[in-house]
Amino acid sequence: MISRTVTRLAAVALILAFAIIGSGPVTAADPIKIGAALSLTGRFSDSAKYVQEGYQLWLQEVNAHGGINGRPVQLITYDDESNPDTAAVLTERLISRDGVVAILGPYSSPITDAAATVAERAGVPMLGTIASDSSIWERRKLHWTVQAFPSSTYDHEGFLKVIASKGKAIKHLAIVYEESPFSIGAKNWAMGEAKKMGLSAEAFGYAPGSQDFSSIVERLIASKADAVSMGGYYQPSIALTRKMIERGYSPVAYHFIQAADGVTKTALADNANGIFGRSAWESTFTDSASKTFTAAYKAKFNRLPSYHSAAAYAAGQVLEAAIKAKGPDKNGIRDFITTATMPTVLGTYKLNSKLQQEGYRYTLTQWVNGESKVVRDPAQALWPKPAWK
Amino acid sequence: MTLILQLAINGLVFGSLLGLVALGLALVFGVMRLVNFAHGEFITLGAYATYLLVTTTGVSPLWGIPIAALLGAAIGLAIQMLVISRLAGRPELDALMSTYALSIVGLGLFALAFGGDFRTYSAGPSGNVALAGVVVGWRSITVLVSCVIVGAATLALVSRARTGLGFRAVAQNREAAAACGVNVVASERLAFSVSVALAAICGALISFIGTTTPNVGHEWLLDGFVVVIIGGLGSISGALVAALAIGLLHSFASYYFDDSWAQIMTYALLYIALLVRPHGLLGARSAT
Repeated sequence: MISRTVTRLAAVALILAFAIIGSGPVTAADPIKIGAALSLTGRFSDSAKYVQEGYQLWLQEVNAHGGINGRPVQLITYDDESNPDTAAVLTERLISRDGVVAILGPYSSPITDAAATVAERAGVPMLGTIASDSSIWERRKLHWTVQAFPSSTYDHEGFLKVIASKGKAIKHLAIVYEESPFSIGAKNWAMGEAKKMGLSAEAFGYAPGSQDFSSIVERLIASKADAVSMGGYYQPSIALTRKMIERGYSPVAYHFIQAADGVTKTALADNANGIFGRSAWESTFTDSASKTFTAAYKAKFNRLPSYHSAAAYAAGQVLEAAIKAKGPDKNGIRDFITTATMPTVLGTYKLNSKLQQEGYRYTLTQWVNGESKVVRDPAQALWPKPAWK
Repeated sequence: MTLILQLAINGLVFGSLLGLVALGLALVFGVMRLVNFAHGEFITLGAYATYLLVTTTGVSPLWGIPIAALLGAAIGLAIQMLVISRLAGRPELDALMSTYALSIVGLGLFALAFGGDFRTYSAGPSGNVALAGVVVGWRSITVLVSCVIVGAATLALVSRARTGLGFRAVAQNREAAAACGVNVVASERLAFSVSVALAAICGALISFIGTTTPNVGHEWLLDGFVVVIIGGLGSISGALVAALAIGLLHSFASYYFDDSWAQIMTYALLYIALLVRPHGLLGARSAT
């Protein structure tokens, strides 16, 4: 009887010993685990690869400098196949199975929205690396997910600035927007700013998935708008521009938010000349942080970084600072990333009370002689837009 | 008056493209009683084929129309022989699910081959024509003229040629048609092949005025189904009339109200059509 009790006690002691050894104190060699679900395949894969490379460069540099507080950093990455539902499942896996202390955001606003549901429920900090859609933070009370990308609210800001500088003769501004939350938010902000500027402005909405923009162009013509800013997605922007060209409607100034992308030139050829766009970051930026980042990126990947890569690297910089300041503690990281103001390659990281980005702002760009250039001084912009060819 | 004419022309251009989408759907349903969910992928096929042709060879995108038609016809024939023909006599749900599966496979293949970013080109006719204040771009004119030619040719094939007689016989009664000597298998192969060719032509024209993504066909498919239902399931001429009506409605409603109202009105029209004429504008009462 006694020997059986002793045997049982010994067994329990052994199990406890293994359990204690297994969950023993974290050693200096144990990596700090960070997760990311990225669209490595599927419709977002072309752009998401740039995000992955931005994360990889940041990771390499951190570990080359001895990790964070002496511990190496491990980035666990999964492929969400460009699917929000898959991203949510993978975020759950990163948190519950891999035990990550923080998440570097996925590609695109809809996928960030889906992943945020899981991160919020589990109480794990997440940086919305490529989430421009501020309406996510407007309609949901998020505590663990922050916007680490310039906010869509300011999509038209650069164009309004150039109008303020060069467009004294502009009589009527037209804002074209998609009836989606991000575009409506940007339109509302721009209409308010236009009013402050004393500019007559009118908004023209179109339904998501719209195939035909000919009636909107007729309405623009009827409104006598001499400046047009399109705040929808890229494809509708190209479709609208082509209709304007076909119809021969050439405003004094024209802006669409993703015009800086190289496809604009492929789609519009010489007609791209003079069109304004906006960009979160450009590899031609001359500040020292951008120059260093661009050189390191080019050396590692043998191609120029896109704004996606810069945003990814910047998110890594914020997370690195958070862990350095608070240790690999979820609550500590959350407190840091929700309150910090710090410089990154993307600019000054700073959030408002809703955890929307306020520090990063878009830069105005313009197509001039076949090249998309940063408009550093609005007074130097090409004005008026050359007539369509 | 100029504005009315301008809106009417814009509506006809949009409606003609919609008509081409609906034409293929109506043909396959009319002859084979098959609701083809993969029709959107055949539109995408034509769009990518034209994009590749233009960007790799530098030829005019107008060449994309016959090339897409031939490619579509060949692929349509292969799919009909390998997949669709095996569905004859099976429950309707089997056929429905099979075309849905084809759609998913197609979507995946396009995404794999071309990624998610949209593809486009700037080659092709440019400029516009102004007549009595009405301005129409050469691209829109090309789309309109192409749709009219292809639509008229399809109507002629179905209503006049001996092939059309076979189509109509198979549509009325498959077994009776076979008993009367109509080659049912050949008729069904041809109908499906022509339908895919029409979708591919439509894709070529869409790539010409818009952009191409793996989803481009899907974006037109739902409107295509609306047109087919309003026109009368299986009715070719009904589909064409409904497409032009929806194109005009969309153009005027988008201008005088807004784009969202235009969509609401389109679906309201569908609802009214189903209430008042459940068999469609020109559909036979037994068609459903």
